[in-house]
Amino acid sequence: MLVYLDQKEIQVFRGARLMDALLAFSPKLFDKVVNGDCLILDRFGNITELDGPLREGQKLFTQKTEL
Amino acid sequence: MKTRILLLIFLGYSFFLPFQNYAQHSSKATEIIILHTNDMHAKIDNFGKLAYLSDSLRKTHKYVYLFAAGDNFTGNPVVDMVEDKGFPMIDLMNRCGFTVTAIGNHEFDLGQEKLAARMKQASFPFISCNIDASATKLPEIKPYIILKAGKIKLPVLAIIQLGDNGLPDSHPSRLEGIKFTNGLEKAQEFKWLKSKYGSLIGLTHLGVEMDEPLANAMPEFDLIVGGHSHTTMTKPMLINGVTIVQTGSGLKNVGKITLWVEKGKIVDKSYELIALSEITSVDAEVQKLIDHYNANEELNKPVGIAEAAFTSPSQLGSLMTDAVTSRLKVDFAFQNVGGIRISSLPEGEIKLKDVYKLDPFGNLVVIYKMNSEEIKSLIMNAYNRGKEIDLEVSGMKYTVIIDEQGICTEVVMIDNSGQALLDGKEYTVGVNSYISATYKFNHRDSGTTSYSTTAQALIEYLGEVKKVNYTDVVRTATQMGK
Repeated sequence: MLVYLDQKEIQVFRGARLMDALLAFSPKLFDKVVNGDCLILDRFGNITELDGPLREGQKLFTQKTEL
Repeated sequence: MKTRILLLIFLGYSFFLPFQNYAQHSSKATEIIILHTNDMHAKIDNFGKLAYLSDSLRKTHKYVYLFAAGDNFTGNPVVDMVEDKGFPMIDLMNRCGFTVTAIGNHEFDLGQEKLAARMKQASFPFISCNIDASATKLPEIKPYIILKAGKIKLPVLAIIQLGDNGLPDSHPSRLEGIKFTNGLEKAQEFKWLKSKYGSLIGLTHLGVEMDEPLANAMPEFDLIVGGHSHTTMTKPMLINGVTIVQTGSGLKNVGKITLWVEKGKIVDKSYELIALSEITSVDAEVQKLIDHYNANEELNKPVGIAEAAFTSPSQLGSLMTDAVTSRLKVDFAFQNVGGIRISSLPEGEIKLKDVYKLDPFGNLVVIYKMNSEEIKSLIMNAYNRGKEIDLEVSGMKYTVIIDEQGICTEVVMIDNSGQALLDGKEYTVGVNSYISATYKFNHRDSGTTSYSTTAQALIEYLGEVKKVNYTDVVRTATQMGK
């Protein structure tokens, strides 16, 4: 299935979690999220947890964590 | 243009309008507190804090309720992998005084027999309006409950998510005999609850992406307490006049909604997301129970016997992949060497905790339909990542042919009957979700999760075969090309 992170396409398996999509997109970004340096927001601006399930076509956005 | 910008600013602001003081409540209004969480996924460590918080509120407030918006199970071996699967979770939920839970897709991971036992164990109901389990041994699933606060009655309607296949996201074999209907359509049949009682609360396991269309379709909801998408809302959302809340996952947070109700109507509300890490007190009795479950002796339980010691990651990888081909009924399975977290295992009992040391990541099994060329591309690309064998395998043996620079230029693959893989034939291939996400390989099929973890497959496999011996098992080789 296709999901979007900052409007960039990520192709990932059906039933993937956010962590799977991030690993597919950029293991470095995945590490940043795990370390709390970056948040992943849904299209409403809410924080999505790494273990959250994704839907086809879902739009997500990165946000640097405020220091 | 200026008007349009002002309108956008207004819409943006109203979308996330703080959830309080919509209306002033009179002294006659009844205060009702709903604590809620969702997607706890068997994480039990914060139950002592939750018990302390809920009991403290019950001492000072007359009407306090505790909601779970589904997915109570799956995600912690001390809950999921004990003999009586799920028992610790319901025990702790009972002790915290949960009022109700929505049924989430991962409730079905227990299997119907165990889920039925857990529903009977619970001192609170499991509800959902779009599940018909009347043809199964599951207890009756009611669509809603009525909360009673003195003379006030508040209906709470639950809904479960369905995937594109019309089923909740769990392995279809666990859903046999159960009928599911579209939740957004089914919910429409319960609009009468609003007319009759004056208010309506949704307890949904749909995810925020589906809570939004639900709120747009049914402004009858005053409040949607949601789950499934693991969304942490520090502020509630307001969609079409409907307030939507969700707390993330893993019992890290609890939401506290305070409603003021007059003549059946919710006239005022406030909301607070409470991080349980900020609470320093615990209920001592509940904490004792958590410690007991965490020290669960069942993790020392043998799940199989190693007739001979495993002396290399390669042998362990062969075992792990055999578990996937056997349990998931696929032709071939692959396991990356980096995901094999111990290098040896002694002869004798293989304990449950050994499995989680070997495979601690919670990786899912992802199944692809692939032809031989695509499988070859997976092996080649994996090899060329570090110029060494990187994938252990089941269902076949393979030899990597390398050039003088150590780069893989060809792969020879032989199935278990000694035959070369057939050109044009489509095979089913199981890999873990890490391989699926991070390895580059050609595949027309984007893959589908089995909703089983690789560790679960191994535990089930060992339970099935009882004894294993991988002394002489060698399935991969490297050969210099001519």
